[in-house]
Amino acid sequence: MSELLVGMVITPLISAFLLSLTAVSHRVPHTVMMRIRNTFSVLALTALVIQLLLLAPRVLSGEVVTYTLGGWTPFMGIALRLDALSFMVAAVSVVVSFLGMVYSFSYMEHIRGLGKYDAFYFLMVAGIMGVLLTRDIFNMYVFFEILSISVYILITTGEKKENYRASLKYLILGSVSSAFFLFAVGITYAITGSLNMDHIAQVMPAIMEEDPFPVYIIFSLILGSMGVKSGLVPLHFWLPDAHSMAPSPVSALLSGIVLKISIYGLLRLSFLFGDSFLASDSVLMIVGVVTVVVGSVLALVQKDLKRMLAYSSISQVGLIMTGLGIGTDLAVQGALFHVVNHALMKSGLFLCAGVIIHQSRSREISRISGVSPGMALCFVILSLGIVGVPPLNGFSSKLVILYGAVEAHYTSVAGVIVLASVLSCGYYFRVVQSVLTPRKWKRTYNPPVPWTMSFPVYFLTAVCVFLGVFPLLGLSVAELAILVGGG
Amino acid sequence: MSLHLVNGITIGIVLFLIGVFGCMTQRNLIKIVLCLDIMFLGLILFFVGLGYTEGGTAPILGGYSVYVDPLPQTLMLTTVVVELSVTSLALALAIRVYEQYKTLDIEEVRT
Repeated sequence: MSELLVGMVITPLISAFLLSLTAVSHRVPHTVMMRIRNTFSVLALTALVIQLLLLAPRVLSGEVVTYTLGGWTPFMGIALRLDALSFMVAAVSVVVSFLGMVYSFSYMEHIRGLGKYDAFYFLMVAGIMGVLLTRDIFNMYVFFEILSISVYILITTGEKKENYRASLKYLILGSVSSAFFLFAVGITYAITGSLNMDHIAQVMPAIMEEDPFPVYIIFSLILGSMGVKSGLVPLHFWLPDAHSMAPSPVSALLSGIVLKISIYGLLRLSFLFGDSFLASDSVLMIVGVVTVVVGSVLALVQKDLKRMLAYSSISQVGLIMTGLGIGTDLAVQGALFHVVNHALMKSGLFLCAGVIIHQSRSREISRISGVSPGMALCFVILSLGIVGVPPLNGFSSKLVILYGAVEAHYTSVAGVIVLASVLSCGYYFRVVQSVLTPRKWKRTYNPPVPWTMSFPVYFLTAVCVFLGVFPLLGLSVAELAILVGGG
Repeated sequence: MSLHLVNGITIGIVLFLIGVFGCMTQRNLIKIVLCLDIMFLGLILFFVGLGYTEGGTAPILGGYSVYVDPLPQTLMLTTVVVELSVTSLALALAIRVYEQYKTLDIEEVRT
């Protein structure tokens, strides 16, 4: 059974290389090739879903599934591990990447070299699964690099000049942050003599007692590195460019999943230093609150729809970081639930924005017109979810974070979060108003929306409403994740 | 005190910091890519320095008492590959940026 863990990394990796074969020049007609490619991608992602479902009952009963590669002892070799924390993030990632793939069947049709796009898409999924499953910190670095390099390439698939600029900016900052991470890995190896997370966690308390200085350096390097990758405020300036310039399905993956993977990395690595290391100092909380405020204020002044969504992502990541920084069980539980919720809502919004831009042929918020009623409804529901209106999932996770903040006597933090929610009303309702207002000028030809583009949006909206009506489902998984993931 | 200050670890860290400094201050794209290289080379030297033991040999076959820790070196083989792909991708992107904007100065690559 635990061999499935290898399968979860290998399946997207093999698919990536097989799909890259479809990019070489061949005599097969274009339409046939496209059908082969689509069928193959759906099959590969279905296999991934089935593997996750097979493991789900064991993981959700609180068990930890471990597999050691090549049968080496965990101290020497690389171990893969799936617990409730990684399962939660992995499940959301697989669902969103599946929907993103379905969406790009028609959205990316006009892009040259579609085989290249598919190959790097699957390479990115392989990187995501690798980061989530591995128990070896150097291996984590390698999977982060696989993930980042495929993301840099995916951003350029639009082939406009802004794409190259955004990708290069992201590449330089991403490489510097990866180097910081590698440096932290080196220092960890020097002081603990191991790269395995279980072993490091065992040795760490003794080292902390003897001389905490190198541990602080390691943690600052990790925080800096993951801060760049997840767009915390002084380090966020690459994010709006990269997320708004990428094609819509890639934006959805970037904002929904890739940011969360960095948050997962930070959380997972913080467990090495003890149970509530993130909260032992209020730095993360303060940075989180600043991120919430700056992200919201900058989102207010944006004219471009996707750029506005990108800034809103910054603010929501800040909210999650605040929850992690407060550090009480309740706040962390809320933050983890918000990781899931934001991944679903924001990828839904980006996919929806892709349809809206397709229909109104403009990215400017004030020029949006001719949106079909179904899409408008989805956009309104998802926006209300992000703002945090009661029957939706964003409300329950925000409420739990707020409750955690008040319980830990950070009332001012709770106040700032509420203020940021009010600000988010401001920038989302501007779009909602623009979507719902009938335009005076003549309706030109309204481009049809293929079902592959509308289905993912409807599905994500339905999941958001479902999680909003039954929030205890998500909250109990998050509770289990804290309980099991900490060990 | 000359015995332990000049070694792989210290020189590696200094090179790494020079690389980071260069990435932040340079304006030419090619120079920034070179600084990324310097940064990673410093890290490689740092890692190899971690495994070094004075007078050690490579632990391939038996018949040795003092040996060099081989793990950092194997890790660095992976890092070299990763760094190679990052550098080549960065240079490819720099070529595209130059084609589109007719300049390599990042201050002028706006809008």
